[in-house]
Amino acid sequence: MIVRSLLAGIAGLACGAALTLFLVFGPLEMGGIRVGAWQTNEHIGASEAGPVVRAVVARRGLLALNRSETVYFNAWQDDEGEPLRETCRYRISGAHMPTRWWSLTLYAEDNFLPVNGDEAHAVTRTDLGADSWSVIAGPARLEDEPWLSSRNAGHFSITLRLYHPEDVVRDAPQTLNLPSVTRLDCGEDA
Amino acid sequence: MRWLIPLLVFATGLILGGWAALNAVPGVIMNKAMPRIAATTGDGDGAYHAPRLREDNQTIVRASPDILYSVCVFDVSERPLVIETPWPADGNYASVSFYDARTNNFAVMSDRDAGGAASSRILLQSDGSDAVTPVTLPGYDASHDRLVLAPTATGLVLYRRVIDAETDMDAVQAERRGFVCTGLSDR
Repeated sequence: MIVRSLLAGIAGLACGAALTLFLVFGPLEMGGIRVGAWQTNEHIGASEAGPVVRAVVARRGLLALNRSETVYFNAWQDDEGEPLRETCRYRISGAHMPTRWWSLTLYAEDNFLPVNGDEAHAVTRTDLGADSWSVIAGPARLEDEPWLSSRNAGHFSITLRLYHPEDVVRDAPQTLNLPSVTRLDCGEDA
Repeated sequence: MRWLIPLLVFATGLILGGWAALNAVPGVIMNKAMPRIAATTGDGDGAYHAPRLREDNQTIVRASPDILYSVCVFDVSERPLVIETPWPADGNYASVSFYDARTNNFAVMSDRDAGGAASSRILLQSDGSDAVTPVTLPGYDASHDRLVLAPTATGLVLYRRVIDAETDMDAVQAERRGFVCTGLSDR
């Protein structure tokens, strides 16, 4: 009985650790508040973050700033809840956001910039203007429109960074008018 | 009963193993990152001014191509560190953020906190260490200099500086060379 229990304890420890590592380095997401296609977690970068958020942030966004400086919103899905795919084209449209400056960056499935030689990984408020704007995310440039290249990005994501956000961004993110992420077409239609 | 106790022990182990792994992940990731960065900064105190992020030089996940990064690894177990930081002349965002050995962002100072000064000095020391107060720094000015206490002896200091389509890159590269980290006893 003692040997059996000892072996069970060791197996439990090993399985618990393995399961956790699988989840943290696999499908576990940061969770938090959802606003349209965008998701944010108020504990990113904060000392009071729980162990789950801290572990996932360490893997997915090491060295993130706390929310007094920057609020991060991530979109892994479009407005209809479908995962973002490199073979589809999306229009990301927005308007004024209550912040000092902002940027949009497209990351590949591995959380790094996609390696595609297109040099179209990010756009900023300086590029697009502070008021009404739109940008295309897709595998190829569309005419003269601002472009985020998703070529070689797999199931990609987009990060919206709001630098020195106004209080409303931290206090009531659900009320924000964040950019829409509309799928235009996919596959051979793209 | 024959299997009940082993099953309970297994379940307890499962929870404990999961909890331990969850708490270990940030420290392990940070401990992998710090030596890599320290190796690029020479003596471990100097600043490493990373080249502008491109798809072929990425080392940290989800870094921003619109930010220039400079970084110091710190170890304040034996001496405080003085961080000198320039603030952007072009009015763009910049900040100095501090991360402990468990990845917590325990302090940050940005250009907005500097009251319009061209630069700041930040004295970083171990929380609970013998008092080394900011007034020991010649010319300390509380309006734009700071004292920061580190909850762990080791960690990272990260300087971020926004660049955009209108940025004069040569001027900015020269400007950020003013971000330096020096042990107090070296001064």
